[in-house]
Amino acid sequence: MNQPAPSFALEIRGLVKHFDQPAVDGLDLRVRTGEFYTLLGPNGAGKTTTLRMVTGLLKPDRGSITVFGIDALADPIRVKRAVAWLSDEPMIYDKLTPMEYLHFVAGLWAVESGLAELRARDLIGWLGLEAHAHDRCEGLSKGTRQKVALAGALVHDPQLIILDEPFTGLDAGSARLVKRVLRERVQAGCSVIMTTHILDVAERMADRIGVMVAGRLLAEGNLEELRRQAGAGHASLEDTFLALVETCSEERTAAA
Amino acid sequence: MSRAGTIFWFAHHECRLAWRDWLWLMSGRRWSRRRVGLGLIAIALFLHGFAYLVLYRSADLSRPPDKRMLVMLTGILALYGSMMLSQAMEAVTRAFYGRGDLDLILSSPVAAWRLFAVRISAIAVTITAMSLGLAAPFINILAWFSGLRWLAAYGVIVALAMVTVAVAVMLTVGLFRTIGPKHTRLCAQIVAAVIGASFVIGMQLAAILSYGSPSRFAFLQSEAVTRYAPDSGSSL
Repeated sequence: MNQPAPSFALEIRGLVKHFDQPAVDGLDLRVRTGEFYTLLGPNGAGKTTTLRMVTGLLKPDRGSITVFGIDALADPIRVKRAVAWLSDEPMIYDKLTPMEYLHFVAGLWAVESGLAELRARDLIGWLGLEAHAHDRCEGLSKGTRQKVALAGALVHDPQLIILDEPFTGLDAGSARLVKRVLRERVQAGCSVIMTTHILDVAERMADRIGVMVAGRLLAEGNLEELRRQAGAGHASLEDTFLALVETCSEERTAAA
Repeated sequence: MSRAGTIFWFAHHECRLAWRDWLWLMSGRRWSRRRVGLGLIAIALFLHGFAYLVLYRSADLSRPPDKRMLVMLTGILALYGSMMLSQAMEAVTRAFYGRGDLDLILSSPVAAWRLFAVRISAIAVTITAMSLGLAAPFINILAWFSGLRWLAAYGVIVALAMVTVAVAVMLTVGLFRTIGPKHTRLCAQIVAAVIGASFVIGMQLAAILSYGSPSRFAFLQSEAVTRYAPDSGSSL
């Protein structure tokens, strides 16, 4: 009998990570299965640190992380099989071609080579990389490299895609293409968590938006709910976001 | 090709990257293979000539090595080891903490120790090859003029390189655990430089204080040092 999919792709409870100062400070966050969730926040809010803990690249000091019902701290390998991570400065090997790179990444996730070839060809096609499929990555533009890295993140067909600033360095055409691919993934049942500073992208693409400040989730919901929480009437996401961050800063200053 | 995610698979990946880097280095500067070959032969001949001059001036190559010469060789090996250690620590830091692909590999379900095993082996091979390249002219000249037994020095250099890489890995990982990833690279470079320099400076200091001469060789060949060294027939 098929088991029903867990209702949450990601559940974070009381997550804490300190470096020289608290980076993530008791974060609680839930992302539903099949949801496009965008995490906003000023620089240093703890967004990337949070996502790196979810992907197993950093160990939290305290708290729990569950991905599709699996405890990420107790069984990181099972979680990693279901997750794709694309950092804000993704690395692709200069001396490999996009096809070779996709085969390498597929190998890391133990995707059978025939299937890897099929998926790599599909992704190369979807992302409009056919002309560069067999060129060394060293000669590719920043935007094209970004698309190759995104293809790498998708080649093992992840259930949860985590993207840190995926639109940095992309031209308008490439950005539209990437948005379309991500939207198709969500329609196919994938969950996506993305950080971005491009509020327009967040407004158009996200089912829900979380605003993080100083390692905590300050507000969460769709644009309408965020406006209510900020008391911002019919303001744009940008105004709503800035109002939320400003209020938080004032409260913190007053508390200090 | 080997199964994905295995040590051999990672080794194939690393070899492919290294080979393409090497080809780029050769072709990128528009050097023909013939010119590269001729250049390497010229360097080898020069190094052998240099080794001959050094050995001819400092030892009687026709006689079997005496205690003084063995002490000097031990000192040179220690100096050589400290230089290897400094190179190895730099390489370990770069391989463990400097490579941008670690995010990708560590976020995948593959066992990361396999990659690190391959990278440590690659460092061991590189350091060994480099050390052999530098020592070979001296060993060859000694073997030519003083007997084939000197070829055993190749084994000594290989063993020394392996030990050095092992120590470098331990020191670098120790630094990582003590002071964290942020400061490891800088600190490893400083430690490597200090280790590399301390042996030379220490010997020079001892020579100046004891004999009023800055020559490291004078110190190694002095009576005070050779008196305490094991005899040339000793199993030590």
